[in-house]
Amino acid sequence: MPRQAGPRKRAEVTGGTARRTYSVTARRGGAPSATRNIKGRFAVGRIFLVVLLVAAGLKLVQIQGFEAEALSAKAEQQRTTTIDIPAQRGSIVDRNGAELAFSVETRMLWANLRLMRKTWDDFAKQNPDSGENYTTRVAEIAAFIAKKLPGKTTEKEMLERFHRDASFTYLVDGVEPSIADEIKNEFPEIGYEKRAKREYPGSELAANIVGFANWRTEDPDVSKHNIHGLIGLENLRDNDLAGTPGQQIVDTAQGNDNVVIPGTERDLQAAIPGSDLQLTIDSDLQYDLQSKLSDYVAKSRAQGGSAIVLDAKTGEVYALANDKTFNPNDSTTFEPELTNNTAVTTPYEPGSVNKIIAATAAIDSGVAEPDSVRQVPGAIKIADHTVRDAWEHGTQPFTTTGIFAKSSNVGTLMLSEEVGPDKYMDLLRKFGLGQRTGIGLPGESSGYVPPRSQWSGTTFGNLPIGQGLSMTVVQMASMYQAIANGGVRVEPRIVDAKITPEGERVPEPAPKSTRVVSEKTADTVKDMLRAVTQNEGGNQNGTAPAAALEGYQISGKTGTGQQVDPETGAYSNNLYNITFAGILPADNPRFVVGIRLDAPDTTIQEGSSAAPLFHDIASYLAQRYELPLSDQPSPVVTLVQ
Amino acid sequence: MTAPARSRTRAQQSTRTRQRAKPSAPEKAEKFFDEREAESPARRRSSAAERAYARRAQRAKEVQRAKTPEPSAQRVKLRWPRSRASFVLLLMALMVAGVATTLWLSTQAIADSYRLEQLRQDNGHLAERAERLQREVSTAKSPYSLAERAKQLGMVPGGNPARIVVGADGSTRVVGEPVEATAPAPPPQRTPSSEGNAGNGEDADNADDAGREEQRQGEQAANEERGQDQSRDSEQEPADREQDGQGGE
Repeated sequence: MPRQAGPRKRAEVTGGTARRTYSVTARRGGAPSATRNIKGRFAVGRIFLVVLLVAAGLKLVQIQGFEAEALSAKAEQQRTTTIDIPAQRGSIVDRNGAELAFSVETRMLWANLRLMRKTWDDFAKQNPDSGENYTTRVAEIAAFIAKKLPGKTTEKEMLERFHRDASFTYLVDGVEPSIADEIKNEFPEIGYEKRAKREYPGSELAANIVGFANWRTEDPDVSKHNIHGLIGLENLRDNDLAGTPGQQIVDTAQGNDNVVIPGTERDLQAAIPGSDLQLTIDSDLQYDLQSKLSDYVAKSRAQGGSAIVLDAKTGEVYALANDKTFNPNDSTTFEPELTNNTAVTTPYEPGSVNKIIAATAAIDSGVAEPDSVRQVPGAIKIADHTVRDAWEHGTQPFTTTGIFAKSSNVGTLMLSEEVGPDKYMDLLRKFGLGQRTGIGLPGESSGYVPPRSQWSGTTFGNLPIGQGLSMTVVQMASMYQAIANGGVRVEPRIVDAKITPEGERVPEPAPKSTRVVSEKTADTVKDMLRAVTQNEGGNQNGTAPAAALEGYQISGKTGTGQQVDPETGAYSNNLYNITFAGILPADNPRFVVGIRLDAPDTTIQEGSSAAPLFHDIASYLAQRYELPLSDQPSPVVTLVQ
Repeated sequence: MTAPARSRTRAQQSTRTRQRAKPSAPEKAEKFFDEREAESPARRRSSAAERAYARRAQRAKEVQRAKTPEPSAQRVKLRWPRSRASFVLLLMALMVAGVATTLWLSTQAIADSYRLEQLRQDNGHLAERAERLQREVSTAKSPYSLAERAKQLGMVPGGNPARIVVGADGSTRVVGEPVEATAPAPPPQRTPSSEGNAGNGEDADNADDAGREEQRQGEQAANEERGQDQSRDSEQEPADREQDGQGGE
């Protein structure tokens, strides 16, 4: 405004003086027409401006008032991009931190076939001379992808997918992100979605424990797609491992969703990574156990087998193996018989290994001392049926130690009768039979113990010698763990701790421990069972000299349980469970090993006993954990006088 | 932005012209009136006309006096436009600077976000590389691959070692018999020592009896009575073997 003041004033001045110089008539004639002209222009201008203003105002009201929401939503849609933030699934590591399972990011390539067909058909129509059309284009793409992903896919497979009669197709999964970017840069019509893949570096190592997880797309909400477990711990502990995927909204540059306008990120939901699981497994030992067991099963021509190594004090599972298992990196091995973790899911009748209950009961109730002598005949009649020892013998003076070291059925039943069924059953429960151990693996069986109400006359002639009841290899080893640990049974556990994304270590709830018998009784039984590996010749041999390990005292028990023939429903004459449970070293227990062979060929040496396998496992354990030698060899005791 | 500049020059020009006009205008006017007055006696105007002329001259004088700036006012007026111009200049400069800064900053931000995208991409590639290396390392150090590699290098399982026990007095004794590790037979992969040990367990096939004794649940009893005898027959085998083994002693 101030700058307009000058000219206006000047106009007045000049106008004033100039006009005065003209004649009055001239002034009178000229002035009205000029004023009218200016006034008219002003009026037009004013009206024009007012109309403009009103129009603008109306439009403003329309936009701001009536269309505001729709327009801002449209604008939002144009500039914002929703980014799914995947949640990193926790790893599974062994007790030394070696990874058994972890996740890596991958891409799944896809193509919108309908759009591609349309684009290239149009192109071919417009440029018929170029010779390019949909077919040539997909051939080019297929060749490129096949070249970039050797081993993952083939050109033929790609072409098949491109020529599918569908509007959309997935092309190939598990592509490394950089290669996916390369393919997308080369052929913009190829898209990808972010996925993740579970890696199992050990392949079959501990697969029966760790299990398997893969990318799941069942949820209709794509942002909730994630890796979830199917088998084993991956499935059982999925809630801990999986985490929650998050979402973020950002404003992006036009045409490139990857260029985020700074300061526009806002979280809808933060991604929460999953926790890691640390197992009590030692992967080296696990490997050794798996390979030794499967070799021995092959050698003994068994149908299967399971084995477990427990820490004698804490009940931690150092290794848990089946003779065969699946390979999580190879989906063709996902067969029910391979994915079944028989070590925890399948109970069996253990045979003489179960005599440890009778031995403990006899010592604990004071009916026998290790060296007290009984006249044991070759057979005993329980109710209406006769139980014999495995070898013919007349009535012989057996020490208590001898009864168990030579595994006399008759002697065991004599002792059990003396103890009585109530005390026996009480102890059997305390040893954890008929109850799940809570090891922390899915599908655990509790085994079977007939309730007292359903006992027949012969039941108490069967249970002490390990028939008529069933247990898993975990329960079997757990009984010996109680004896090794001074009479306190600590339930076995396979998951040691959960490690949160913040790095905090959350130990699993402490396993339940049960005092089964007094420390004195447990130690007496443990020392008594050293005679099982005694090798003094003749009548003074235990049942498993092959289990002995030079330099160490070994305490253990062999077992041969009859299997029920599935065809006849009666006990089979040639199908046996060959079992062994042992403590290493007996004078200062560190490990408990349980082995079960399913129906080996008992006519060959390897098939009739699992003792040699125990020896090999114990030998490895002694080396790996640098167990100090026992101060002296196991004392020689009299088994049969 | 050039508009004020133009107006400024115009304003200056106008003042300048006015200044220049100032000394001449009154002269001219006086001269003009003089001429008229000189003429007037010749023309012989009426007294009314004379009065009208006089009034006009008077008015013209008044107007001129009012329009002619006094020296002090003139100074203010001269200074005012000049300071206003500098003020405008200052504002313009500020505005230009502001606009430039904003432009520069937003350009930088956009450039940064492209750089950020580039860095994210690099980071993604590096993370991917780390993942790939981690995968390779953990696969390579898994017991399966190690065992495979060891086998390729011709290594064999060590088997049972012998151990040297050092007594309190420094004396040593060897526990166990050191044996040379030999390659296990190709298909079943076993430690050779276990076979050696089995030697002293010739009677290892004391396959234990176990509860091979027929067992039944009460209700199975009748059915099993037959199977029981059969199973007892089968027990003789291990029993016989055991007798053989013990017979050797």
